[in-house]
Amino acid sequence: MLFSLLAVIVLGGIAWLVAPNMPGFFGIILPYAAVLVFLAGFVWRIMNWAKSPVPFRIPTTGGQQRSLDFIKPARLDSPFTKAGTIGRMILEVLLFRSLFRNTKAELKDGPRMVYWSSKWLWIFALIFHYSFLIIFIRHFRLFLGVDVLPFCLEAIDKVDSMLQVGIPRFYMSDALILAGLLFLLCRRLFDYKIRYISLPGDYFPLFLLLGIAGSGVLMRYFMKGDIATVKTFIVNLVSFGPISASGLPPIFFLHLLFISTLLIYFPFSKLMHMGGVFLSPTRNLPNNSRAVHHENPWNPPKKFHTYAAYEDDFRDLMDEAGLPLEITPEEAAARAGAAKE
Amino acid sequence: MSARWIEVVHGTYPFDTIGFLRTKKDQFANPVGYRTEEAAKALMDVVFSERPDQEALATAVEEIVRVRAIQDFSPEIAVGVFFALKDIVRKVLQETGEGQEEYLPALLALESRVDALVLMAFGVYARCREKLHQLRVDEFKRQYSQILRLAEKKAEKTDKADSNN
Amino acid sequence: MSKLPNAQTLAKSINYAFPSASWMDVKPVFNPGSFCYPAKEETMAGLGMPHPHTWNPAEEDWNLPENWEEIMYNTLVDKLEKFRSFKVFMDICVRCGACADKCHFFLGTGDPKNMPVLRAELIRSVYRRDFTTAGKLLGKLAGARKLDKNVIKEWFYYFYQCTECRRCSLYCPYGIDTAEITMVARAMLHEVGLGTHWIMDPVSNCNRTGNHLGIQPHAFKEIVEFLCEDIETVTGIKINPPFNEKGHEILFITPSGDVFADPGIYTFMGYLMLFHELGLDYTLSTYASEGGNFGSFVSANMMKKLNAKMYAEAERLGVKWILGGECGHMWRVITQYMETMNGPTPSNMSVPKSPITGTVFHNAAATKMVHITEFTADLIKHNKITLDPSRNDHRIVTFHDSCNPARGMGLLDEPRYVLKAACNNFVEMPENTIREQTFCCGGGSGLNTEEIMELRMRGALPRGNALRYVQERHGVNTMACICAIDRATLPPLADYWAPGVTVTGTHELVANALVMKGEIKRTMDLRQDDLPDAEE
Repeated sequence: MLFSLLAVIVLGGIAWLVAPNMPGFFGIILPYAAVLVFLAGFVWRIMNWAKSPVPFRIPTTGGQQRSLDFIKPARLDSPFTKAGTIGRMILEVLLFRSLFRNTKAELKDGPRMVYWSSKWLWIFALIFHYSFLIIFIRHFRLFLGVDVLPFCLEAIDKVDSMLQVGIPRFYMSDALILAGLLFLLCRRLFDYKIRYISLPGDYFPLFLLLGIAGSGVLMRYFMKGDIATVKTFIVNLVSFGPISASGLPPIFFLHLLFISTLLIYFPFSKLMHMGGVFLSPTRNLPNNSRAVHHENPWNPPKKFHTYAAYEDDFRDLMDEAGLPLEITPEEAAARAGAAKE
Repeated sequence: MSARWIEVVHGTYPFDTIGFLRTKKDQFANPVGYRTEEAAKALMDVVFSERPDQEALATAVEEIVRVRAIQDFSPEIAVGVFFALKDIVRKVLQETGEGQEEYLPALLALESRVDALVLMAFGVYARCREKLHQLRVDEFKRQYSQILRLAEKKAEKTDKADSNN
Repeated sequence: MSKLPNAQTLAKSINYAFPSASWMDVKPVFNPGSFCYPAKEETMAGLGMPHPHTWNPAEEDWNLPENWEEIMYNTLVDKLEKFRSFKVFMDICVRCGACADKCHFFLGTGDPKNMPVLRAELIRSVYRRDFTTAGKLLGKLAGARKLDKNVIKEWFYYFYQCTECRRCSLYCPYGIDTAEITMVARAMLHEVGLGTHWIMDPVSNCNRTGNHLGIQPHAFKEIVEFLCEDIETVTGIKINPPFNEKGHEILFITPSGDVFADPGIYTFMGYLMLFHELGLDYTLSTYASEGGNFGSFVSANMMKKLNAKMYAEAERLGVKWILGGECGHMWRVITQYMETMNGPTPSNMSVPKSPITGTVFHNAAATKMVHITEFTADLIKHNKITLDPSRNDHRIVTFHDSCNPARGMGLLDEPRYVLKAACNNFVEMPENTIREQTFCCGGGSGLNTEEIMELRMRGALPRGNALRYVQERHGVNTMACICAIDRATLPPLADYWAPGVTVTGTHELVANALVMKGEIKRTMDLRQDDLPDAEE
């Protein structure tokens, strides 16, 4: 835990102290490299997973199968069709269906509160992921470099700043992402079980994301730099015509370095769950293997104890018990005799 | 007081389970915690009542020990937790401070009661362990019930054949 | 006196200190009652398993083959290349802990390595060191460690404390399935000659004689005939079930435990009575007399080897389809593996169609194998059998979903439909312990062996607790199930955690209620216990 925190602090120090003096590297080369590493790494990881076949159809069925007409199947939790499977994946990816299941655990009366029930995990995980998405989309304002935003971006912006407080206007997602991250962090620190299983690789992304969100918030609300310059720089960076980054505020370099680090770190870490969830065979396959053939590319040849061998073993006993035989004991004896000659 | 004792009972589990046992209240999501807690409350009620109800006491003790008998505890730890009641009562009295002399006879009576409790727990523990072995034997019998039957019939047949000769 | 530690200190003394005990440094202790007996050398050799040898888990040296490191590494590579599930599950866990308290073994033992996430980390840590850059460079800091002999012991300990029930997989946001990981870990252990007696012995027996106890065909037939005598005692009807006969429409396969073991035999008698009443055109087989597949607890290849007999026998006997009895992992194999492994089905087979109701089982178009509760539910729906549920009125029944049909098949409502027709008093256990959220009996995946009874009772606690609850609240005295392993493991579970509850198969209750043509007045149930109102 401390190691991960330290790593993020060191990164921050570099950004604050070193980066403004090396604007070319930290402002231009590193971000480009990071995006490249992210894209290549992401694709490589997915390809690497996809290279291994799915030999068996092993969905975890979360509900009634499709069988008799008068029994209602669970179309999404135990999908028989492709559409149902897509539905299940949508629920899983967009609404975290499996985490939501945990709501069943109820509180019993008693003076003490359950500290982190799994429902909280579901809510805060949703909050974090969606805030992240919205913030990411909001940043297109900076990437596009146009004054009038496309309708959907404008709408997201409007909703996000619905509270209409502060100058510049306060975005709810900024607060929510921090809340989400802090919850996930506290859970790791204070839930004995989670703390016991946590690795440095679990804390590092949390600290890093806190760093990104924190520096972003600082930049927007507290250390309002020259937004126009920053925007010009980014627009040019995104359109592959980078201009000099010198003179930009250190907090911007901090934000940028954290993001670059995240992009580089992403493909080699547990953050790849973003891509992996789509490849999870317990979720992305329909529960129809009784009705439809599933091919195993490495299916080995059949090798088993055949009936003939079985009958050879027990022929006399079976005969005595009156069980039907393929070859009677007499025939077998005759054949054995013939084989000898 | 019952809360304190439950802490001790839970304290005998590996650390990371403690947080879990203490906090999850759902009786199906956390059966160990639930069973212990319910039984501990009942036990306290009985132990500190004027006239302990033997039957209620036995049930409560059994509830607690039954769970502990199959967990990876040595017998002394599985049963020993009941002794902790003494310490807790003493401490509570110390904390309240005043009038300790007054309580002395009551305390002594209570301590003998706890001793009796431990004996009871020991009995339950022994029975549970015995039960466990009985289960193994029963399972074996069930598993081979028809084979045994077959063997018996065969034996009968041979006996008959022998007596006929 | 004061020199002695008081109870509180005594209790605290076994408390692991928090910071010092990273899970990687805690080694399992092999106490009797917590591990399965090892497989015999000759059993392993007879099955052609690699590196058969004599060893004892309680001893320091497990006599691993010379090049065990190489074998383990190569097997891991092989599994990663063959199973996307395994590869993806090695990489995408975020350790959110949603699975932690879903495992019955964790709930019952409190051992942190029984949290599914940590069970998987046992193998993930080795994977990281050998297959990820971060693991190679950073070692322990990246959660990586070297595979040494202690790790192998740890694997043996914990991967035989997983019943492959998949409950964790249901709650995992990425569907990480510990059963998949356990299967790989066990396959790896088998590569260096480590197997358990209670799995390998039945495998060997099933392979040669066709049933898990190694009963030879003539004795098998004889035992079934005993059961028919019992049926006659209870109903006055004489049944002669056909064996190994060609030219029938249906081959019936059920776990052999139902023929040999109490209380499975009553379920088996139930099947025979039902078939007799229907006049079903079926045959039993002594060759393919084992529906259960202990090979699935060993490796994919062993599963295939044992399962292959079903289609082979169906082809030899020329049946149109197979009807399968009540069993848990048997149905996981049939649903998710059989047709892929041993298909396509022989040409004499066709899409199953109930000869009684005419219902075509399109959902089994590929495997051509129908579950008995599907078959019976369909009969009941079409009023093809007469049931007198009042004969079960002295029973208050609840239903235990077996893990495999629940989470590997989705067979949830069919058995309930049947039970509700056969019994008037049916009560469900609490919601988060049934259907897809069902708790394991504590003895699945080859752990139903008596030497680990203690461990099983720990794992059985969540189910026992739920059962106890309905026993106290609703007076439940009977727990029905659809699994032969359940019928073996639930009686001790009930005996220990909820004494007074009887375990039955679903078709035992059906047969008790079944009104048969030409039967005598029933005065006793299949167990030959008197019915309560028999005197009237």
